[in-house]
Amino acid sequence: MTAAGVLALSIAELAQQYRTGGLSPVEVTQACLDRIAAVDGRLQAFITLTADRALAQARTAQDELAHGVDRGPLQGVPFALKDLYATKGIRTTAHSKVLLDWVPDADAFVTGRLYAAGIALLGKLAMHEFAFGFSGVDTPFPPARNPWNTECVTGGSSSGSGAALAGLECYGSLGSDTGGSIRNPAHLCGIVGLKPTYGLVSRAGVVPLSWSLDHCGPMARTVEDCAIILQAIAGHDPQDPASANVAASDYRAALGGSLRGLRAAIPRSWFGEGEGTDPEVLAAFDAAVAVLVDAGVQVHEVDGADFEAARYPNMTILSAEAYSYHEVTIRERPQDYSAGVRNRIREGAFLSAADYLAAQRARTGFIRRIQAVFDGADLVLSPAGPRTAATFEATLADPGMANRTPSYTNAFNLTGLPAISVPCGLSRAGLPIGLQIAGRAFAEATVLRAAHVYQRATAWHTQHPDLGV
Amino acid sequence: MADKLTLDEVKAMAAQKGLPLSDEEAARLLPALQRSRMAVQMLRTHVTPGLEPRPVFAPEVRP
Repeated sequence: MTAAGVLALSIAELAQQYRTGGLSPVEVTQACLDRIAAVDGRLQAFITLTADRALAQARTAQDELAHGVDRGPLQGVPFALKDLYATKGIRTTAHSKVLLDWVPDADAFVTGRLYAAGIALLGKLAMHEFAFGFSGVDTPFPPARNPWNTECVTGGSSSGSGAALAGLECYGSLGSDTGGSIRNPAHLCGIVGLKPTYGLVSRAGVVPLSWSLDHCGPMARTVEDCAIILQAIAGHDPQDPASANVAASDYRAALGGSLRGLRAAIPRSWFGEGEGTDPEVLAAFDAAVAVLVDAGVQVHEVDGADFEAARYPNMTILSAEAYSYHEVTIRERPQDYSAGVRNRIREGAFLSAADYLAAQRARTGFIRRIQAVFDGADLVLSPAGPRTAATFEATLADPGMANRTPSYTNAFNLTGLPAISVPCGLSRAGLPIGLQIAGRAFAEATVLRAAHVYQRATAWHTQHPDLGV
Repeated sequence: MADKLTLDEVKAMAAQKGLPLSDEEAARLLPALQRSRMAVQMLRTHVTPGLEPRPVFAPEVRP
């Protein structure tokens, strides 16, 4: 197998290779480190590289597998974490000068789960500052760049996760998602990102943005790989007050079922919000729906008004909670935030307690009404984003663009429902497009199954950007 | 539409919150605050008398 072929394998394929002797964790980890050395100067996905740790963990995995100790499909898999997951003994910055010197003395709950599953940690990944900024120019590390066109943004806030996976630098990652921060980079970088149900994955040890909207979840190149990662990190954690005491399903086993009889709602009026959705994105979405219909899904259209308006309470809750978290630091060390994030955090200072509670009361109503859509449907389908990736230049020139186009992701943070972005096309300019599939609370198995069946019927996930090496 | 904020109002409110702003910072913040006020106005149209905030948010599970 060529080096490029090895790097393009999925986690599931890699696990099989490890167990049949085709490849070893040490050689694959070294291949990733070589890849990072070759391309990360252009992608800027990594903030901190932990090569020695990765190789040591790969050696341990190799020894264990040789002695019959099998920890499951993540054993010996080169992995990277968004730099807001606490890693004991490894700097964790949230891409901010504020936390530049923070070396946690404990791992995040999910970091521990991944170590126990046997990953080889390659390092920590770039992100939007505190998961709240833009791909800024005045942060202590440069912004990650989109491997499909390095003049373009990756989307955020899990920007380094999107870039590293699309650039074949690692096999799996964790992102976080408060208003779309897993699904946006998945959409723009042509990878898979799952925002699980609120409470399914512990947030303990993860730098918060907005307590009641933050979700942690897997990012990978295939749906099956996301299922494998979710299996490792899902489950109750008493250290997280929002952690749900529900049993995790067998997500990988659930991938195999049929979609026949599933009902999907399409809130199509949402797609025309503001300046609307790019026709190329809509065409890719409609083609993806046709694939799901061929697989047995029954689709019907529903009113999109509540999905559209969900952005308003989401924005207000996020702003108020983010300000609460940063209140002391933004007063005492404003210069340590980038100008864009400083501005966004300060917005929250101008909200009243009554504004915040109005947003939380409105949220209750949105949850009821959007849940009612799921009384008649198992899934809700939409594009994952309204546009393909813009250039840095265009994004900096028009930072308000996102406010004038549909936000397909916010509604599922507000309601806490699971949603995945899966690649469903490439634009004429060669930039990825994502399909969003959302489901009922704790119905990740159904969401993953639909996305997996779609992925098995299409080849978008097998296309990778040409980085010339 | 929400009432238009002025730069002086933004600076006065910021000072009250212990966040003194330069003219340039206040000018940069103004459009964002305008959007934020509009968002609050929009979401308030969805607040009806029977709705309560959730002390700890949890998604609803339906059979």
